Amino acid sequence: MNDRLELDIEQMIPPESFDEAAVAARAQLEATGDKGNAKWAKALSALGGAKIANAISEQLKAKDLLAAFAQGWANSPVFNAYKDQTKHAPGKPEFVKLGSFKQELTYSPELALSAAGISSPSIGMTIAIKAEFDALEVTIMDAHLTEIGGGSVKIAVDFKVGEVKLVTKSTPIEFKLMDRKKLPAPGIGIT
Amino acid sequence: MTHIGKSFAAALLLAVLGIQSGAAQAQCSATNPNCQAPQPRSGSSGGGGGVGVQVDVGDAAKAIGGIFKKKKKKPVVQPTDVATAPIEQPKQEIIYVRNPPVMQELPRSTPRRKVTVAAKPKPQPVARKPAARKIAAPVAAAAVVTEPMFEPEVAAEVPLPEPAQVAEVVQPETPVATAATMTPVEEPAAPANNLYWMIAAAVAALAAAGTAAKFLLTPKVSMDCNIADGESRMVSNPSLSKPEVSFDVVIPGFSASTPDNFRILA
Repeated sequence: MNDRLELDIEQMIPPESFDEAAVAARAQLEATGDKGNAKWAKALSALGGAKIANAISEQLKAKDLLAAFAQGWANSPVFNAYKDQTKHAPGKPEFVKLGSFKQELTYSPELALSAAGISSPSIGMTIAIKAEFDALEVTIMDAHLTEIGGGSVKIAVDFKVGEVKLVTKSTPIEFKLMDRKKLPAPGIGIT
Repeated sequence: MTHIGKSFAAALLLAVLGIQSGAAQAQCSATNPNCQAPQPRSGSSGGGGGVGVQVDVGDAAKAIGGIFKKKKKKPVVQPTDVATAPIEQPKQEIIYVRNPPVMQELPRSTPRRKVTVAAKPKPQPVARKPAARKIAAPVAAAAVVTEPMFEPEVAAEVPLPEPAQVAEVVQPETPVATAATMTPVEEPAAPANNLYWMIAAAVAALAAAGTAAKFLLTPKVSMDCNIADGESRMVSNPSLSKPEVSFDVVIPGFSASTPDNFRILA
């Protein structure tokens, strides 16, 4: 277990769903009624779901999911009190333990084909990562979230192409956050 | 004297000798009993009684012939003592050369050595032709060497193949129509060329249509994943006859919801 919360999307979404995603994307292109888009739709069918899955997974591995989740925490009014420097001395870290909570992080991959310098219209997809945190501990200093450590998180994924929701594994994957993760300085500011 | 003459003389002589012998024998037996008359010689049947002497004319002739005929003596080969035998000296022969060979041609840097050859006693003129030959021979040889063995082939006379027909490519509106719009520059004159260009155009059109169909219907895309920062690019590696198809997956951003039931425990 690592502190980056790397998510292998191919473990959470079955290959059939990516095949269905290719079909759905093709249908999305054909639905436009444009002749050029129809050609792209035919070309898209040769891609196959596996290649799309691989591309999305590699993209998500490059993302810092825990930091992205922390962005939502910083927007919560629960931390507004930490912006008052009269009550919280500057330069002094404070450790806060959070109760269990649910949060959703959404990524919107865009798929586009290109050939001979011509690109197809982008096909929008949605990957919603549903997380359930428990016993998470954060460090706050100077009205910024600076560190995240401890606790655990259960992750489940929803996958959609356009408005078409595809089948995903229903069983969430649990991650133990053993090490403390230091967020890039100066951290995530509390809004 | 002839052979017959010789035989006759011999017979006569023997007859005379036989008579004398017979008389002596008769005289000996009559006077002295101890006396022995001479025995006739071998080869004669006569000798007895003084009468009836028979003479073989052939033998007598042979005997008499031996008197007149000189027998040839065969040369007797005496064993020669090898050690003492005189060594026969080879005869020295002088070969007279009518046209003595010229002096050997040597490089100019090398001092010439005069080669003397026994010449015919007949005086030859000093300034004879061989001197001129001696100089001219190498020149002629060099000329032979430098002359080409045969006439070189003239490249210009070799008929060159006709240059290939250059086709002008009409700029197509779409890449699919590229091969189909190729037209030749020159109108072929012969009917066979017309047929050739018709077939070529048909093949080109079919190839273009096939390429387009492959691209549009079943493009075979073999892709490599090249991960950049925030961008994934899948590049296809099709063959040269097929257009390259790639696809990009871009995740521009994210949205994190405000946690539900979010609270601080301590």
